[in-house]
Amino acid sequence: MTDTSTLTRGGGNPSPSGRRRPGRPAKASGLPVWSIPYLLLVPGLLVIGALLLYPMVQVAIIAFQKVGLPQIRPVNTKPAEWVGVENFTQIFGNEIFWNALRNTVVFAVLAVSLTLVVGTAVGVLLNKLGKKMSTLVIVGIMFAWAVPPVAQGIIWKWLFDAEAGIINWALNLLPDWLSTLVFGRADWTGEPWLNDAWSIYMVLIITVVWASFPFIAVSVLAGLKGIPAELYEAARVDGASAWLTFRKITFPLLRPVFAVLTVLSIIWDFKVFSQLYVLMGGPSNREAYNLSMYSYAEAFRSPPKMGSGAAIALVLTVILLVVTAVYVRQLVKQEDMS
Amino acid sequence: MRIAKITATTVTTAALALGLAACGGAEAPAEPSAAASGPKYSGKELTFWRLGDSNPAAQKYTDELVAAFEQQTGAKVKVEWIPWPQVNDKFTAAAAGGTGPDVTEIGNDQVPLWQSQEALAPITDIVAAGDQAEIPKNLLGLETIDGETYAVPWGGGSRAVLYRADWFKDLKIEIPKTWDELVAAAKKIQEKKGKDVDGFAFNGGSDANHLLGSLAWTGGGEYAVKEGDKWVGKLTDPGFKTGFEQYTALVTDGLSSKSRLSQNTTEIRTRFANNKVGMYLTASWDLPGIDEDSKGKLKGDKLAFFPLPAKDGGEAQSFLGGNDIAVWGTAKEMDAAKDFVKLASGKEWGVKYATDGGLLPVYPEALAKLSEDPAQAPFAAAFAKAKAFPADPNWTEANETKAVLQNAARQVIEGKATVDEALGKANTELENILNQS
Amino acid sequence: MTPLARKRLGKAALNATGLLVFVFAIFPVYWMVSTAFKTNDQIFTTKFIPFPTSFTFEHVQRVLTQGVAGNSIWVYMGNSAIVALGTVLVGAVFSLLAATAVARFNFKGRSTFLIVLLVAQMIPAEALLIPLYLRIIDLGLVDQLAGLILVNVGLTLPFGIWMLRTFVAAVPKSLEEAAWIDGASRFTTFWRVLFPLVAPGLVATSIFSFITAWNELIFALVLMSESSGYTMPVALQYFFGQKGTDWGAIMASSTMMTIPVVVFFLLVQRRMVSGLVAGAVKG
Repeated sequence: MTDTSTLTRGGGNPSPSGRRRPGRPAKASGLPVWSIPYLLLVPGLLVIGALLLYPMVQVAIIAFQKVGLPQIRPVNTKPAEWVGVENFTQIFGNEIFWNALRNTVVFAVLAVSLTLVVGTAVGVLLNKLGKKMSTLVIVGIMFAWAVPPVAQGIIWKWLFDAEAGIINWALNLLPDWLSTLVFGRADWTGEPWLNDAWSIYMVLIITVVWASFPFIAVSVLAGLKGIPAELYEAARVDGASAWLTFRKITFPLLRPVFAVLTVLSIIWDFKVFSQLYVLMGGPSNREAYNLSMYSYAEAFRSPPKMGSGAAIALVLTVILLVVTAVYVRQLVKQEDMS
Repeated sequence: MRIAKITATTVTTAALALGLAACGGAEAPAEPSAAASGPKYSGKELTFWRLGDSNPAAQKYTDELVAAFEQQTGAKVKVEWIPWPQVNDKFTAAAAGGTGPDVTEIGNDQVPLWQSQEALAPITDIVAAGDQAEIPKNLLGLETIDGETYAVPWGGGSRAVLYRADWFKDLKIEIPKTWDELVAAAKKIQEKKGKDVDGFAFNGGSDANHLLGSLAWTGGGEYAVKEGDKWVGKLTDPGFKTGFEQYTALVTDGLSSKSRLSQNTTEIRTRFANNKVGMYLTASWDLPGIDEDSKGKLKGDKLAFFPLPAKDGGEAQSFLGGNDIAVWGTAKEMDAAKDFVKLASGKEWGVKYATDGGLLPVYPEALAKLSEDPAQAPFAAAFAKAKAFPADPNWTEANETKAVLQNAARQVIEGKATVDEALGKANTELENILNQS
Repeated sequence: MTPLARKRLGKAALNATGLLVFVFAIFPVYWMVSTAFKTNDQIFTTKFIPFPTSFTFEHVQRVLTQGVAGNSIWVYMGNSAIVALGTVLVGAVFSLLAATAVARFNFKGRSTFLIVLLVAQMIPAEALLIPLYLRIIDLGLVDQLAGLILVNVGLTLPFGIWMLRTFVAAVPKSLEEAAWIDGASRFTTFWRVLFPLVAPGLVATSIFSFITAWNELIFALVLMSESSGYTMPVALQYFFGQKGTDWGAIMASSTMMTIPVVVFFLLVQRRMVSGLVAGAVKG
C-alpha cells in the first residue's frame, strides 16, 4: 500500500500538467487546457447531482409534505400539501419508530464490533498460518463474502428454520442436562427463531457477521503483510506476549486501516435491508423493523405515505452523517495536505 | 376518471350488445349485431390481472373466458396472476406508476380503498342493465360509493372449517358443534398425529382478520362503528375481547405452533397439504391448491367442511368475502375493458367463475341451487350470517400494512401485554388509522 | 514439554482454528447448494443429512422451466445481467473520466468534489428511494430496466470514482509525459498509455459495481411491478408465500444467483481488497 498518489499529484510535482501550456501542439483539442478536468467531470457530476444530491434535497422537502398516491400518479395529479412538522410528530409519537431506532442502533453497534473482532482475529490467524492452510481459509471465507445479501438471508433463514433447520437439530444434539443447564430447556424442535424481534436480530447479526468478517480479515491480513518483520522480531526478543505485541505494534500501525474498516462497516450495517427483508419475510413483524424497513413500509405499503417515509429516511441519513462526519473530516484533512 | 365519463355513453351501447351476445351463451355466438361489426377490437391488447395462484381449475376457467372474449371481439387478453399477499403492493405500484392493467379481479373489501385512490373506473352502467341487473343490490354495498358502482361482484365467499375427514374418521372424532368440542378435537389430533401438527391453525398473516373477525363477531363484538362521521373503536368491548381471547388461545393453548405467528391462509394451506394441519378456516377455493400441493393425495372424501361453531354452539359469523371484477382507472383500452367485465360477470361466466373457483355465485337462482348441495351448504349457511369489516378506505392500512390486531395478538401470545392492554392500544391505533383523512 | 513439541502443538492448534473458520464460512454455502439437490423428503426432515444421497435435478429443472411468478429463472437472471452490465458500462466510462480528472489534474474545486464524493457515499440508498422513485415515474421509466440501470449508476458511481482514482494515480506520470513530449495528443495519451495501465483497476472497480447492481433489492422491488422485469433478488422473494415455501427451488435459484458473484470474487479478490481499503484510506 505505497502511496504514489501524493507524489504524482500536487506536492511532489509542483507543475501539474494544467500549467504546461507553452509549446503544446494545438491538436490536443480546441479547448483551453484548464477546462479539461471540468469536462471530464461533467458526466459524473451530472449523475451524482441528479441521482444523489438533488434527491437528497427532495427527501428533505418531501419529509414536510403529505405525498400519497393522488400526488404521484401520472393522471389527475394533485399538488403535494405542505404539512410542516406533522410527519415528524406522527412518527415520533409512534412506538414503531422508537423500536426501529433502537433496533437500528443496537444492531449496528453489535454487528460492527463483532464483525471487527472476528475479522481481525481471523486476519491475524491467517497471517500466522502456513501458505497452504491460509489459502484454503481465504478461499473459504471468500465464498461467504461473495454470497449476495438476499441469498445470505435465505441461507440463514433456512438454517434457523423451526422444523427442518439444522440449528435446532444441532441444539437437540446437546446432552439434555447441558442444554437444560445453559438454556433451561432440552427440546429445541420447532423453536421459532424468526418470530421475536430479539431472535430475528440475533440471526441477523450472525448473518451479517458471517458475510462481512471476510472483508475485514483479508484487509487486516493485507495490512499485516505490510508491517516489517523486524518489529515483531524485536518484540519477540524482548519477550513481549502476543497480546502486548498486538496492542503495541499491530494495532497502532493498522490504525488507519481500522478506521476505514470501522466506518465502512458502520455505513453498511446501519442500513441493512435485504437480509432483514428476507429473514422476516417483508415488513411483517413491526416490532422488528429497523429504520430502513420502517421507511420502506410507510412509503410503499398501501396506502403509500411518502411524507412520513421521507421523514424516517431523513432521520436515518442525519444519524449516519453525524456518525461518519469525523471520518470525512479526517479524510478531507489528509486530502488538503497532500 | 374524466376519460371514463366521456366514453361511458358510447360504451353502454356497445356493452349492451355484447352483454346480450354473452347471455345467449356458447350455443348462439352469432348474434347479428356482434357479427355485423366484425372483430371489434382486433389488434388491441387487454391486460387482465387475476388474483391468487394459478391452480389448474382457475387457469382453465380463465383460459376459456379469455378465449371466448378473444373470439368475440378479436382482442388479445394477457393474463397475469398476482398472489394474494402481493396484491396491495402491486396495486400501489400500478396506481403510482400509471402502469395498471385494463381489468382486474379485486377483493370486495379493497374496493373502497382503491376507489378512494381513484384507481378504479366507475362502471355503474354495467350493473344497471343486462344480467348484472339481477345481482342483489345488497351485494353491492362495498362497491357503490356516492351513487357510482366501481366493481361487479363476481363470486361470494364465506368461510368454514376445512378438516381432515380421514383423520376424524380414524380417531373417531365427531364434527364439533361447539368451540370446546373443536378445541378437544384439535388436541386429540395433535396427540395422535404428532405435536408438530397444528390441530387448528392460527392465522396471523395478511388475512388474519378473517379468522379473528369470525370469532369476535360471533362473540357479539365489532371492530369499529361509525358515529356521525367518525369511527369509534369497539375492540375493548367484552364481545370482541371474548373472540380475541379465543383467537390468541389457539396458540397459547398449543393448538397451533408459536413458530408461525405470521402465517397466512396460503401458508397454512401448504402445511395442510403436507399433513401438518388438522383444521383451518378457509373456503373451497383452497381445494385445487391442496390437491396440487399434496400431489393428488389429498382430495375427495379425505377432506370436508363444517361451519365454524360458536362458543356455546350454533354457527359462528363469517366474513362476507367476495371477489369482484373491475375496470382499472387508467385502462388503455377502456371500451374493451368494460366489455370484458360485462362478459366475465354476466350470468354464464359469472356463475361458472364461482362454481369452478369454489365460490358462491352472486346470482340468486344459482345460489339457491347451490344450497341444496351438501358440500356447499356450510358456505351458503355462513353466507347468510356473513358480516363485513369497517367499510373505509383506511381499513386496509389497519388490516394489512400496520397489522394492528395481528400485532396485538402477538403481544399477548408472547406475554408482553395482557389482553386488555393490547386491545386498549390497538383500539386507539385503529381509531387513528380509520379516522385519517 | 520440549519447545519443539510446544511449537508443533501450537501449530496444530492454529491449523485446527483455521479449519474451524473455514467450516464456519463455507458450511452455509455448502448447505444451500446441497439443499438444492436434495429431494423434498430429505429437505423437510428433522434429521441431518449431510449429502444429498437422493441427488436430484428436480428443483433446478423446475426453476428453469416453471420458474416463479410466471417466468423461468432465466428471465430474471437475464434481467439482472442486463441491469448489472448496463450499470458497469455506463459507470466505467463516467468514473474513468472523473477519476482521471481528480488524479491527474489540480483544479479549482477539486477538494469540494472529493468531499461531495465522500458525502454521497454516506447517504443511505434507502433515503434516496422515495425521490428517485418519483423521478423515475416522471420519466416514465417504471417497469423499464433502463430506470434500474440509471439508479444503479447513481448508487455505484461515487465509490467507483473514489476507488478508481487511486488506480489512476498509481500509474507513473512519467509515462504519459513521455508520450506527451513525443507529440501524442491528449486523447492518444489517455487511450494508448493511461488506459491499458489502469485497465486492471477498472476491471476491479467494474466488478464491484457489477456486484452491487446484481445484488440490489430495494429499488428493483419498488421500480419493477411487471413480473417479466424482476431481477433475481426480487424474484427470490416470490418463492416465499406464493405456494408455501419451496426450499428446494429457493436454494436452486439462490445458488444460480450466487455463482457469478463467486466467480468474480475469486478472479479479482486481491485487487478488490486493495481497491476498497486504499480507495477509502488514501488521500
